[in-house]
Amino acid sequence: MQRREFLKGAALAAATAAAELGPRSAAANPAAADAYDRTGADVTWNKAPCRFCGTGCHVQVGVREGRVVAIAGDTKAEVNRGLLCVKGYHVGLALYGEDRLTQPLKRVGDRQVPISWEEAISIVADRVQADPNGFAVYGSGQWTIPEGYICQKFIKGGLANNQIDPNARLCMASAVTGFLATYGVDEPAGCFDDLDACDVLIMWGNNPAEMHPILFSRVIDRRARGEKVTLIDIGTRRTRTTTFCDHYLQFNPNSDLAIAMGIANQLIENGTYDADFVQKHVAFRADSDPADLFGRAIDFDEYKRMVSEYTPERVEEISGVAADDIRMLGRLFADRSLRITSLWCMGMNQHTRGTAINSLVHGVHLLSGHFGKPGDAPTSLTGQPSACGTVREVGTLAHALPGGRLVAKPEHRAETEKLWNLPEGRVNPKPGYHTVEMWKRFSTPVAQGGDVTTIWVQVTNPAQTLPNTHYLVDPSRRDPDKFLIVSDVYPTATTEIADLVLPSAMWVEKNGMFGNSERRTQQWFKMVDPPGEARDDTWQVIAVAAELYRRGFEPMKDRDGQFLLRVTDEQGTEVPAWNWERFYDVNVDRYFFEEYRQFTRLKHKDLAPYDEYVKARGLRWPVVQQEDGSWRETRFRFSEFDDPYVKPGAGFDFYHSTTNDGRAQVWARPYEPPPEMPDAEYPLWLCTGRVLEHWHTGTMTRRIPPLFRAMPKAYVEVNPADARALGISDGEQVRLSTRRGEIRLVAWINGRGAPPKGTVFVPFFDETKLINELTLHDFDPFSKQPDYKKCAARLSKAKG
Amino acid sequence: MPILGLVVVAQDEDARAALTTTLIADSRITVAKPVGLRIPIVLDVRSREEEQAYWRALESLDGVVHVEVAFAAVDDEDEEKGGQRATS
Repeated sequence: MQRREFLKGAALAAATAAAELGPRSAAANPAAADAYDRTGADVTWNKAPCRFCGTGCHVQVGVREGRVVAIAGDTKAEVNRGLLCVKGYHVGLALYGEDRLTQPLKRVGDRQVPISWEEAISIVADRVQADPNGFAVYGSGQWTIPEGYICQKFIKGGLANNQIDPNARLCMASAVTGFLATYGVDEPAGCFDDLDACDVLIMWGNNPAEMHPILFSRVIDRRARGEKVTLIDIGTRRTRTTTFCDHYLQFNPNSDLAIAMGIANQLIENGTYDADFVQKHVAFRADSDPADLFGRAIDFDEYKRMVSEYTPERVEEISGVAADDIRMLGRLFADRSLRITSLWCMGMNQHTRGTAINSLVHGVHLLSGHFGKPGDAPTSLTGQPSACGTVREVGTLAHALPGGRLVAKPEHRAETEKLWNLPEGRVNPKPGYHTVEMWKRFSTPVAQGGDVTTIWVQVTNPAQTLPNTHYLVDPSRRDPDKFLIVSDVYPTATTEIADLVLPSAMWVEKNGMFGNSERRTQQWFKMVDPPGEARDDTWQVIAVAAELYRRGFEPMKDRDGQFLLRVTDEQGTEVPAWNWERFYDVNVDRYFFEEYRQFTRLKHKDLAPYDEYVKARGLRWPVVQQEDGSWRETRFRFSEFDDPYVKPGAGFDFYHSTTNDGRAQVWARPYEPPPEMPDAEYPLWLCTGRVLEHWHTGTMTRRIPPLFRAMPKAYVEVNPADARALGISDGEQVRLSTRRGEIRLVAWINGRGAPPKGTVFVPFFDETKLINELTLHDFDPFSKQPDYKKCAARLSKAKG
Repeated sequence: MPILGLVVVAQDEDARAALTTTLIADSRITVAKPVGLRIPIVLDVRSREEEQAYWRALESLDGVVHVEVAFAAVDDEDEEKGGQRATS
């Protein structure tokens, strides 16, 4: 009983602290910060970022006798200030599903049989040597920063085929290209502090009440305290977020471009754009022919002519949003006394015009001067905990090198070769395949050009998340020349079809670093051991590379003939990190992070030394050393008042401008219809997405009993009018089909989300209902990100 | 037997007063002193099912804007273990 009383005391102290701090107050409460200690001396506490979304909440992890026993919101963390969402407080249970993978498994016929790690590593090395150019890594925004960096070095510095791409291609690649096309450099200028200062929050196809609930609570809490914050939901389906909003503007799929152009039209036509900001800091841009990411320069008159077509009435015709609502948005952006923040995530990114709509939303903010002040910001969110840190910053995309470099640029290759001590010319100038192309080639016979013969998947579940899986995944499983390796923690739809399965350590079973959606780099230490023979993904890559090196495989040697992924201790003595028993003799994360951080200054994404992150609950880059030796983070980039790289007196400076003149680019980009639209045969729009209870493919959250029970199965949300017309009742089994496949689901009418007439919605968390057998693999021409939000579908009553 | 530290956020002062009264009356809930519209509570329940039911009930109470989590203990011996693959 004493122990239970300890726990209750700790819970009460933590709740009181969280109530006092609130999601808004930045003031730390020293007494509250120690609330966890009331659990008693047998529980040790340490910090870690949550394993799930891109918000980057910090948790305090309580460990007793080698097991995670309690989770608390970290009151010292600025992001969440002691609070967690329903997934966050269950994050400790994600470690303890009963079917963790604990042994390497090799496919023998229809079975997967246990093998030793030695055999498993040898098999991977054999596949590399058999076809180095056809060996690819498919990674993740859940990779830690060191994991992604090591894979990046293995592929781009070793095999030199550039065949590495992440699942983040599927969730935020269009945000990257939107930032690059606008500012010449990736990632948001603002940060989550904008949510504490904005007067208007516009959510573009975004449902933060379910997907980023802690961030949303920062705004809702302000309203609960009596502050006036206007919330606007611009979406294609009513969600939980909509219920909190002052305005819901429902648009026809793909027509968000017309809405953004319509706002620009209003600012120009009414003369209410910020002429001073535009004159000093902005240039104009439109698509070139042939199209490329940076387009062609246009003058203000041409821009004005292009947006002039998008009158409120014309926008209403295209989008279905009332002309008066377009005027309302125009008036809001015209009001310089307001602070306006735009938020978006998959809705704008999973879009065949994703780059275009991203750049248009940035453009509306720039044109109106709603930029660069706390609360005035266009900000994209990420769904994974390190989509920014590992994918965008480390550069684990097929065309990228660390720190914002590109394989196509000779000077970037030369810098990389120098930092990695590679022979001159080692880094390949030709980009590897982006995700859809990688999997398409993996599913194409070698004789027909399918030159990807092995894919090593780490920390992701492509058999559930790739679009159109019958096309991109299934054929490879019938082709004896193709070999699939999967490192993961639980059995998944992907491990099930793998030729080799490698059991991985997860979250606090290993050291790690993440980078969240607001440029915040975070660090944690290993706290408990992984089960059975599960091992760190980092170790797995080092072990394979070491085996290849042992065999004399030249690509695993640096310029001096030393091991490419060599690790040394403080004295410079090599540590055999490929030997699992010795892997934790040194902090491998620290070693490779210090190497990686040398790459980060080129694009002013400066990172502090590893030990600074040990002390902090994350730091937002650029993190710049001060005269007194301390390290200062940056909240608002490009703004003189906070960004150390903006010269005094400049006000704003877009110092990676694509026009080399310190200006950001405001784009004019026309609306275009989507690649597939409802027709007589497939009369409905199909939209896919996520739910509050489950994180992405549900491999962790479906193993947490309370979350599983709360949302056990995928469903199809149906509008009541469509249900009536089809004779479908709530809870009835239905068939949902597209030109790519068909699945059975339960119909949910008047459910949590409310799609408009003519639209159905299906979440993708359920491995027993693989909705991505039905989705399109068409992608944005610049970002190569597929569109999961709209395709043509048919619904009917299930028979038999 | 889960123990949760939660913050119930009330819509306004009237709602806070009514909610505090309601919450105090429940033997599974310990209520601390409200901070503005935020009511810190501890939920001490017998099972994960009960926890889930409470969570939903709290969210659906009149005047509740939302419920936040500050602490969760997951180690009690009779607590349900993590699940297996939920494929059926």
